Amino acid sequence: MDLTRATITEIAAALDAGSLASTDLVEHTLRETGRLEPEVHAFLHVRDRESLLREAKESDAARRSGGVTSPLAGIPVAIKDNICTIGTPTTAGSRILEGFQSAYDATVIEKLKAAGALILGKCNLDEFAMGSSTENSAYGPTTNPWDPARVPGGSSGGSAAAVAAGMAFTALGSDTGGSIRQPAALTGVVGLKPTYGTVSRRGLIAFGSSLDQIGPLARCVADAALVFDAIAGNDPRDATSADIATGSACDTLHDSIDTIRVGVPRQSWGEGLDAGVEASVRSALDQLGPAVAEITAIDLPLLEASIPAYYLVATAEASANLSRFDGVRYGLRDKQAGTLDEMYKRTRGHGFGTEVKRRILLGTHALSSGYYDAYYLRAMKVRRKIADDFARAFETCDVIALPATPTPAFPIGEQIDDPITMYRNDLYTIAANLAGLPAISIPCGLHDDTLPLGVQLMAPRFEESRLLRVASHWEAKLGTLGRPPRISANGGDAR
Amino acid sequence: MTFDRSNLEHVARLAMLDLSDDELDSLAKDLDHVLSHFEAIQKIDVSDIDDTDLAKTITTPLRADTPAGSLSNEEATKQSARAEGGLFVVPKVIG
Amino acid sequence: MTTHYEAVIGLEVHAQLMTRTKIFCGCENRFGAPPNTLVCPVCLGMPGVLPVLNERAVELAIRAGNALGCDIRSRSVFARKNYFYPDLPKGYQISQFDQPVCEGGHVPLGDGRSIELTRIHLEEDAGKSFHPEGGGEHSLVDLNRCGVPLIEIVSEPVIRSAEDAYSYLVNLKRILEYTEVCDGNMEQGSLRCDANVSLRPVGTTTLGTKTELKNLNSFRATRLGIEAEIARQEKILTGGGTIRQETMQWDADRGVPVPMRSKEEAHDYRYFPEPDLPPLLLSQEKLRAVRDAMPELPDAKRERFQTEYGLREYDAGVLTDSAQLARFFETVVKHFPHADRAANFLMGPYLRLQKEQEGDDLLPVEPEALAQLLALEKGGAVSPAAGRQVFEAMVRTGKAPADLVKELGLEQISDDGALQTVVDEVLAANPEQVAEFLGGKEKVLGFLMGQVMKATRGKGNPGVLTPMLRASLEAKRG
Ligand SMILES: [Zn+2]
Repeated sequence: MDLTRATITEIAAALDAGSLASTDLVEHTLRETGRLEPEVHAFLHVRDRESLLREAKESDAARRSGGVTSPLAGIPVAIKDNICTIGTPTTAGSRILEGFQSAYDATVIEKLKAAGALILGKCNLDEFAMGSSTENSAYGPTTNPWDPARVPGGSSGGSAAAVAAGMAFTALGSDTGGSIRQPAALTGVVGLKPTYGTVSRRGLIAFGSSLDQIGPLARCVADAALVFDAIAGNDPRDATSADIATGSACDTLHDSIDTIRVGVPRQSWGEGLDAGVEASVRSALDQLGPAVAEITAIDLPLLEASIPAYYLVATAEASANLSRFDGVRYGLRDKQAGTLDEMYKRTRGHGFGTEVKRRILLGTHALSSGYYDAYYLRAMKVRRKIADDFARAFETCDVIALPATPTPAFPIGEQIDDPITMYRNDLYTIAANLAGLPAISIPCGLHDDTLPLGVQLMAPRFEESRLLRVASHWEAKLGTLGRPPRISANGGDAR
Repeated sequence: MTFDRSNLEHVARLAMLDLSDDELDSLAKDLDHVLSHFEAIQKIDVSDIDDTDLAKTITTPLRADTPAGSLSNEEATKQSARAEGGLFVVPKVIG
Repeated sequence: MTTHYEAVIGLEVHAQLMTRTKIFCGCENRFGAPPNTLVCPVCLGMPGVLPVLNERAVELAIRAGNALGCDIRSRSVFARKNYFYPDLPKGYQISQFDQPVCEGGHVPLGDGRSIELTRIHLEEDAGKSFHPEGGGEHSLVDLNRCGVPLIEIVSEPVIRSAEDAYSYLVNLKRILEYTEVCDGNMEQGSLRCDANVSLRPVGTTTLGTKTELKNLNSFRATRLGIEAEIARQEKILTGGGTIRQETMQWDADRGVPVPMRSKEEAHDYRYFPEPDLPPLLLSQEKLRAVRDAMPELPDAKRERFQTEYGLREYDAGVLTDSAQLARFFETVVKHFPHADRAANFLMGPYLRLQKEQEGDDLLPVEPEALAQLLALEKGGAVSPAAGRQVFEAMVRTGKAPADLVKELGLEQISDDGALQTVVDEVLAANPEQVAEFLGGKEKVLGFLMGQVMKATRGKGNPGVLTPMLRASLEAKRG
């Protein structure tokens, strides 16, 4: 079995059959990590070999005694480092949290552990999930496994790269404006952002609280569905967690999609869309056509306006969310400061990177006296209009298909000093966050035969099953990309 | 609306961010640029929107008033850059 | 011609709610624990934590609203109030802003007038920061109080004197205690008062520049603080000066309001709706359930004390003045079903001793123990005079009344032979008074009775002694 390509379903079957052990998975992962990390830098922390092997052995023993039912049992999972985990540092990619240890596990971590999964380590990200390239990490950028001169996207760039490079079998990311789907698209893996409220945010270090969702990055749609089923569900410790039973997304993955109506926003084909991306997405839609009831054009008139609406709302929320990093109770403190205000200002001024400061300042401005109505409140109203637009669109279609990103992966350093260009990477993804919809990016081929591209699907709220079902059928037509040939030199067969 | 260095100094004070002279210049320029792009939303007619709540019928869940335990003082203070006698120590609070 | 000024006062009262746990986490809501031991990731503002609203806190806020005649909003919204302070771990306080849980309402002043309320909203308390003595350049932060549920009760700016502000606070405290919303302990900070004070020329309606006066942590401080602030402003205005809008702190030791910060920037709290908490929607069923569980209010209790226990209006008023005293009385009567005697004892010896000890709090005696003492008295085992001595000893020592009666040797003497000897001795020692009595001066009997009681050290049974003394005197008429 090629462990760099195998799906979780295949691995779980081999584990059950006894032809593979969880310890093999750990060995594979650590070997590949050791080999690839110097170039990719997908991880900020990999747990020690001894602990991982001990947990893997326990898992194997439990399986032999019949105590294992979850397909995730014994499988190492990589975690974005803005998700709190006991026993490892949790830094959110920020200097201000260097060495910070969480006193509790995020709910998603509790759920993964309950399913028997092993926590492999913590993945790199843009500081506090603010960015679209993973260049904003205080601990150095992650590179794209398909081309080390290019970004993997962001902010879940480490999670995406770890899966794309075959180091991780699956990973958790977080998505506030596209931070799972955009890096998934740029690294050739599957990325799912669930409906707002479906996966608990407890233990996710907040960026934009009304937009953030945790979701999986995976080798295929079925794997994403498996992880989604494991982490979804009402959490009484998250007041924004929906108390709605959505059922298993895995169970209906292969049901027919021949009654599905697919809507494609006319606004998808606008200015800024790379010609190669457009060709690839159109070709993917052509392949989907015969399997579904119809593909029709729909309107999302405010798609372009979603960028300012999103950046005003998200940064306003972030400006408050990041106030707790004040040097008093944990994290970095500037010890030179003589007065309290100086301590705050210097700790935060030196502890946060440029993009984080830029966004805190923007959000503070959007909420400040005299600007609240024009910025924050107006952005919230535009957001509401966008959500209403989606509701209208879903009267005539069942899912919406559109590009995941306007361009393929761009060179490291190209956009870092140009916020507006950087923010435009999220053009196709942020509307789903503003409206709270579930959305998924799946690979749809290679740009110039070198760089992965993604196509995106969105569905009405809580319709993950429908979303994943369509995605699974579409994936069957488009195929998965596997690991980039350039790093597959040494192969990955465990036996 | 333009955004200049004095606007930036004001919000940096509110946000408790110490910025160098270079940062003040470049961030003021960045934010002015960003905000001028964002002016687009001022043209959108939002007069029909009076409620921005996306989930109007959902109430916040309520928690039973039952103690669920606390951290020990050790656990609560061990990650502070400065804690003494179980208390967090900070530069003097004025007033 | 001199301008006369009138004061315009609005009060903001913060009341800690009597819940078992904090408003957004499962830490205990308790005063006096060692620092930073009632804290968890949520109230420490650790990364990734989320608030979940305490149901009891909501119920108590609604209950306060009901007791004060407010409108309870079926939809209220939490908001973040942003500012940096070491006792505020998240850098924002979760409060309510433009959509509070209660609007309107009023606090009666006890003389037929009442003060209108603007609103009551729910919020979380902050921790405490303090300066150690000789601690120099540092402050210490304890976050046990952080996240304790509060309601803030905001009055309209319609209070005109320090005296009215004082009655407002007295009456508000009484209602909050009565409804078991807040324990009213101002010393421990369960109830805290800030005042907005401004002056304007009598006859005008525009508001003058106001100052906010903080740290009014007792009834006395409220009255004295507001009086002093009014005087301070009046002096400035009559001297032709202008009032600066600033926050003052009442210095109770020096008896003056002092400005809190000299270089205070205008605050911009940047309120916005709390994205971690959906709006609080209250159903009719919920509101009804809260109303049904409402404890009796002072007026209703006073009337019931008259009808149920046959008390006079004045007595019922005294006994229902505080919820604690009323509860104490009812517990005594449960164990000693003679309401008139219980009421007399509480209104007499009990309240007298309480007053002597200069406290508003109940004396350290269990109501059951007092019921035992009253039963001993009624059964004749101890005289009323000796009963008072026993009561004082109970307060002092906490011992059981029966034990104290024995210990102090205060068993009532009802034995005829022993008492007759005492009476004879007293009559023999006071021939002048005996003669006056025999000459028709009835009221000398009281003096002689006092002498007899003194001779028995208060232990003589008055029921036996009174007829015995009279009979012995009559016998001397020969
Ligand atoms: Zn707590």
